Order: sequence, then structure tokens, then C-alpha cells
Amino acid sequence: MLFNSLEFIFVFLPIALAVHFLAAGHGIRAAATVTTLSSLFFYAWWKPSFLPLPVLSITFNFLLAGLITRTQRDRARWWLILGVTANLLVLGYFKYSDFLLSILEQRSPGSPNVPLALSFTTFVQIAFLVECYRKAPTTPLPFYAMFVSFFPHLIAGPIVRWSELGPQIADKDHYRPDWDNIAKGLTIFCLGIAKKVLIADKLAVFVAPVFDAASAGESVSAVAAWGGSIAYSLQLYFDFSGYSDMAVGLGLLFNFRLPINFAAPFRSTSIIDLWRRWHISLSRFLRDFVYVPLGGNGSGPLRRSLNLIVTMVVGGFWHGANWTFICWGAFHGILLTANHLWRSLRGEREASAAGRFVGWFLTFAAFAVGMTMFRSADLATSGRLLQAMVGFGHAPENPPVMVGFDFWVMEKGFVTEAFVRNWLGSYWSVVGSLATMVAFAIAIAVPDTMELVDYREGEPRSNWRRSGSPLRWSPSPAWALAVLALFGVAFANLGSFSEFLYYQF
Amino acid sequence: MTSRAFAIVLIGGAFSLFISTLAANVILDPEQVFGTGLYSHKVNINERVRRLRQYQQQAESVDGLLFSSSRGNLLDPGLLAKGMGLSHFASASMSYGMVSDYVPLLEYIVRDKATRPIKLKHVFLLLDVDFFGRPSWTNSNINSFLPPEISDESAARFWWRYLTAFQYRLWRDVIRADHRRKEQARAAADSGVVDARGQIDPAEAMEGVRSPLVQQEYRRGWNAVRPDLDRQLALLQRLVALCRDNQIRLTVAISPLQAWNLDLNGPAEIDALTERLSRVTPLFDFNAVPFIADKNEYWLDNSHFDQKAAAMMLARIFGTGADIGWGELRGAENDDGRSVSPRPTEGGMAAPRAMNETPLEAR
Repeated sequence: MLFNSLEFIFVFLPIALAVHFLAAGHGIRAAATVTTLSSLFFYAWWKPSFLPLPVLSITFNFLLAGLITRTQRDRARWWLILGVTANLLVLGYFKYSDFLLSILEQRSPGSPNVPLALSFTTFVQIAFLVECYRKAPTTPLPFYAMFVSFFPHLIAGPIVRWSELGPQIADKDHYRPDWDNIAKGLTIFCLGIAKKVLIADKLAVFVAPVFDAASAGESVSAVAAWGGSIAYSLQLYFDFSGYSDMAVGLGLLFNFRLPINFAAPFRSTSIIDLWRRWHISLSRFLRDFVYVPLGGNGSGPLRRSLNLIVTMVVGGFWHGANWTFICWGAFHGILLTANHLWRSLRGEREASAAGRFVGWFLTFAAFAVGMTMFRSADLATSGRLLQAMVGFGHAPENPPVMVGFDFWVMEKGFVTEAFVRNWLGSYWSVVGSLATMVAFAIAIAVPDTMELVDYREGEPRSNWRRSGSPLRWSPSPAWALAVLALFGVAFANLGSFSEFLYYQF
Repeated sequence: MTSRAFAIVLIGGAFSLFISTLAANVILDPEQVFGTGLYSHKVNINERVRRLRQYQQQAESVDGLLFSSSRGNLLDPGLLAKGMGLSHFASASMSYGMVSDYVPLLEYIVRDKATRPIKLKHVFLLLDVDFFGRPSWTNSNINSFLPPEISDESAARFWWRYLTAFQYRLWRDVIRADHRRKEQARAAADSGVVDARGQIDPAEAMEGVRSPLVQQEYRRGWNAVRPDLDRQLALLQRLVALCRDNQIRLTVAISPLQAWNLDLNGPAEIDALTERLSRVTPLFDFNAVPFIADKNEYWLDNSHFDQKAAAMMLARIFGTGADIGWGELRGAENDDGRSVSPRPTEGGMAAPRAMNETPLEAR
């Protein structure tokens, strides 16, 4: 079931909320149990045959957590190793086995058939086992099951920690409806759905032709390659941050506060800052469970660089079993290394306005280049697009133009057919450029959802908030009207089926 | 404003929108899936559902079926029934109808007919070779979903889709069309003259495709890739086998294409694909000799032939009119002699006539 589906919004969600708060009248364990069952129903809606997997996984990890917390530390360490290994093996079996076999057998990997949410629940449960080992939290099964399966974060995060959500689940004060949180949660949910439906989905139609053409071995123009990559960067941002906003909003409806996952990342002036503001919960996980155990930045710059690259390769590989993700991760590892090197050379001096602009420009451009690898079906496709981006594409001399999008602007004489033909080629369009610019302006200029509503759970280590926005949210008639209007427009566009991009990871 | 009031306004507003949508879909019923009769004029009819309902209403008596896209709309059911020697012929023509629509519907009808005294005797299949193998329209659009009786989809899911679709333009068009129809009826009653507004002027309809940019886009998006070809060929084989196994006579024809359409697809590709189809079942090919391809007077628009052309095709197939050398019978040599081939019947289906006979419309 998708957050942006009518059956979710108007049937599942109201029922799930009602039974949660009704069950809370019989005790918080009853409410946690009922919401776990709702969440498993939500999960099974997708593919019922995969339902035993989360059930078994939750049971296994709960039993193991009990062993870790109850046994001596030396023995607990072995239980922890067993738990982490078992979780990774399950993930590896479903997500990576075919890819690894395809390398050995020198063939193309088949289509992945990864159970929904597996990547996310694996990380959530590994983090829990480590927390059990370090701090020995004890919790009854209903609370743990709800912590892992809580449907707002189940499918695509945020990757929550027990220390964030566990205490709330165990606190009976959180099982009463809170109108302040409901009002805020509804606002965040509506802003999230608008991001997804009105921006991300609209950009998708311009992105696909560029990447499909490159995948089919066709040449694209430099403008098309850049346009496609920038548009995809924005599509992914609005899609995933929209999803994350909806998750946070849904959490608030249940009176639980989930951590934020995005903090206006496209306003970052360095790649280090960008990774503190992009998919924050994943960055935190990689930092705490990969980078720091590798030695972090405590063993000199060379080792730190290696740790960074390995961490980012792991992060890339987590997204999918494909060389494109590995290369994307390595690319970001190199960028982070270069950024740290630059910082150590430059010192802690405050950058000038021009310096910040250059930093912002380079950060965004590098991110868009990375997205070329991220979105491409294979390395050959990435190679074709990257070649085109640096001007080595071989566009046909007289390419057909994308009349479907640009017929009107050409017919009205706003641009000439020759311009479209020579500069954009067959796979990019004037309309696509305009849509990308509008989305870009929104990403840069309009305050982020979490800025608007002043939601600060899981705030990143970054001074990212702008002060004094006149748009600051309050439960006022004007905001009610604006949010309702936005929801109305999104509602009118909900007819077409559109999955969230991060469901595939 | 309190948070509680704010939340209630949002929840109330959202549910009002939702319930209004449900009400509009049930009352206006643009796809004609609910069978609500308040607004008689529909603008986006799901013909797959309508055809099934029509069959269900006359299931006892139907003994012949036409499967076609909207191009088959002008094939006269009377002529078809007469040509096939049937008593009750039903049309299952539908917009963008493809073999992926016909097979599940035929399977349903064959199952249904097993318990009825009057069996299905004859199926007339009009195939669009320019569409064959292209991505199927079936289940791809709100007016192309197969009814739950003949698809794997649950009935709940099917009705939920039509209940919840926000389709403002269609609602508006249903109301407008209904209003206009009433006005026309009133005007006709007053003056005795029928208002012809809304009919398509063939010249105007052809205007769009003459733009080189549009042709180029069409060619680009409609290139030689037929990603669904193998599946659709298999479905055609399934349809042929269904007819054979149930003693249903099958007549297959390839619909004629206009010159621009032949050009866009490439006459060689059209011919090669027709050849492949003819290896599955014998068929009448109305493109081998493009007799009407460049004659605007035989076309309603850039895709649909008119009644004159339809009558000429049936005359050729059933041997009831003069042969003008149009409509080559292909694949007959592959016929295995069982009951599915287009061979002379009581209704008069005939082998090709001599080239020098008078065209039907000239008589």
C-alpha cells in the first residue's frame, strides 16, 4: 500500500488510527499489538507471500536481543555477531546473491525480487542489537514488534533507532491523541504528498526518455544529459523527502515523533554538509556502524579517506546490487575525501559569499553527476551520459525533436525548431527544462517542510535552518485553507499509480 | 484557531472531497461501469465492460461475435450475420481493442456458452496490423480495464478504481453532453431538423496528421519496436485454438490502413507482420492491395474506414458483391483443414473473385 493511494489515506489510515487509540484504552501493549498487526497488514498488501519474512525476522531478533541483554558481555558479543551476520545473510540472499553469482558466472544479473522494506528493517534491527549490546535495553515483544514494523517508517525509513522511538512506544502518554501533533502531522503529510505527486511525478516524464535513450545505446546531447541528471536529482529529492515528510506526519498522527530525513540538502555549500542533510538516518547509520568501527577519522588523513570511501561504497551497495551503485558510492567517497582535504588546507575560516556560492554550485553539480550513475541501468549507460555531459556525446545530425512536449512552444514561435533540434535533441525538451528550473527554484528558495513547521526531531549536525521565514506554520485559517488546497490538487492527481523511488532499495 | 479546529477542518475537507468524488462517479458514471441511468450520455465508456454486459443480456441467443477495435464499428452487424448465416450476431468491438482483450472475453463466453442451448458458431476477428505487438491498451487506462469476471483482478479492486477516480473533465463533459443532447432533442422536436454538430469533418480530422512535426513525433514514438509481439502472437494462437477446440468457425481480416499510416509503419513491415499472422490463421489482407489507402472518401478520419469501405470488405469476404481485387486471402495453404478457415459456407464466404468485377459501391 502506498502513502499516496486513496485506499491508504481514506480507508487504512483512519481505521489504523481508530483501532490504535481504541486499543490504547485497554493498555499500551494492546495498542502496540494492534498497530503491529495494522502494519503487517499494510506490508502484506504489497505481496502477502513475503509476510512471514518480517514476522520471523522480528521474532528472531527479539529472542536474540534477549540473549544479548541477559548473558555475560563476552558471550553477548558472540550473540551480537550471530545476529548481525544472520541479518546481513538474509539481506544478502534476497538482494545480492544473484548479483554475486552473475559476477562468478559472467552473465547479466536478473531482475531483483527483494522483499519490500528488507533493506530498511535489516538496518533498524542491526542497530537495535548493537544498542542492546551497548546499553542493554529491555522491552516486551509488542513494543519491539511495533518499533520495527510501525508502518510510517517500515517501507523506506527513516531508519529509526530504539533510543529515538523505543522510549515513546513504552510511554503511556504517547497513546493519547494530541491535537497539536495531529494538526502538525496532517500539515506535514499534505506537504509531503504534494512534493511527491505535484513535483516528483511531474519530473519523471522528462527524466525517463534521456536515461532510456542512453540505455538503448543512443546518443544524447550535452544539454539533455545535464538536464536529465539535474531533473532526476530533483525528482529523487522531492520523491524521497516527500515520502519522509509523510512518514513523519503519520508518526505525529499516532503521537510519535520520527526523526527527519532531509534538511534542504540542495542548499548545502559542501559535500560534507550535503551528507548531513540528505537521507540523514542512513548517513547516521553508516557513520555509526560502518565508518566509526572502521576507525573513523582517528587514524590519520589517509586512513580516514579509505574509511570514507569504504563507507560510501557500502552505502552505495545498500541501495542495490548493481555496479552503478558501487561506483556512485565510491564517487561520493572520493568527493568527501576531497572536501576534507580542502578543509584541512583551508582551515576553519568562514567562507565569503562568493566562496559559498562556488561551493554550492560545485556541490550541486557533483551531486547531479553522481545521480547519472545512480539512475542509470548499467555502467555503459552512465558512461554514455557522462561523456555527453563533458561534450563528447555524438548527437545525430538531424535528430527528431520531442514534439510531444515542445509542439506548442514551437508552434507559437517561442522557440525555433532548429533550436530544439540542435541543442536539446530528441530526448530533452524546452518544457522539461522549464519544469526542472521551477522544481530547482522550489528546492532552493522555498523553506523546507521541517523549517515551515519547526519540527526538529533528529536534527542534523548542520546549521541549515534559515531564520525569520514569513511562511512559518501555525494552526490558522489561512494555513488550513492553503494545506487543504494543496491536498485538493494532489488528490486530483492521485489517479495515476506511482511508486516511491526508494521502495526499490 | 485551535489545533483541534485546524485538524477537523483538514480532515473534514479531505473527506468531503473524497465523498464528492465517489458521488460524482456513481451519479455521472463516465465509464458506464455502474449502470447508473441518471445521465444517459457517457463520454469515456469502458467498452470492455459494456460489451460483456451486452453479451450477458443476450447470452441465450448469441451465436456469432465480432472482435475488433473501433475500426470494426462500421461493419454492419446485419451483413455480418447474413454473411455468416447466423441468427443473432453480437459485436465486441472496442476502442483500441487488441487480441489481449479478445482472448479473455472469448474464454469467458465459451465457458458461459457451455451451459446454454445455443452455442457460439462463428467469430469474426478484425485485426489492426499497425497496432499488433504494440504495448497493449488492455488494463492500461481507466476506460480499458477488463471487467473482473474475465480478468484476474478482484471485483473490489475494479470497482474501487472507478469509484475513486478524480476525473473532473469527464464529469464536466458528461454534464455538458447530456445538456447538449437534451437541447438538440428539444430543437429537433421543434423544427424537425436534426442538429449535426459533433460529427467529425474528415478533412478536418486529417489536418492534424499532415503536420510534419506531428508525423515525425508519431514515427518517433511509434517506431518499429513491437515489444508485445510474441505475447500477442501467442494470444492469437490461443484464440485460434479456442475456436478450433469448440467448433467455432473463425474468420480473420486485417483492417485497411490509410496511406499515411502505411507510410509511417512501412509497407514492408506491415506486409511482413501480416505474413506472420497468416501463418497462425488464414486471413483476408486489405493492405496487400492498398485499394482505399489514399482515397479520402472512404475514411471517417485518419484511422477509421467508413461504411462504404466496410460493406466492400464484407462483400469481398462473404463473396456477396463484385470483386475488385481488394482483400487478398493469405495463409490458406497453412490451413490444416479443420473448422477455422475462411472457406465457402452457407452464408456465402468465398475465395477471391476475379479482379475485373465491378466494385460494390459502383453498382
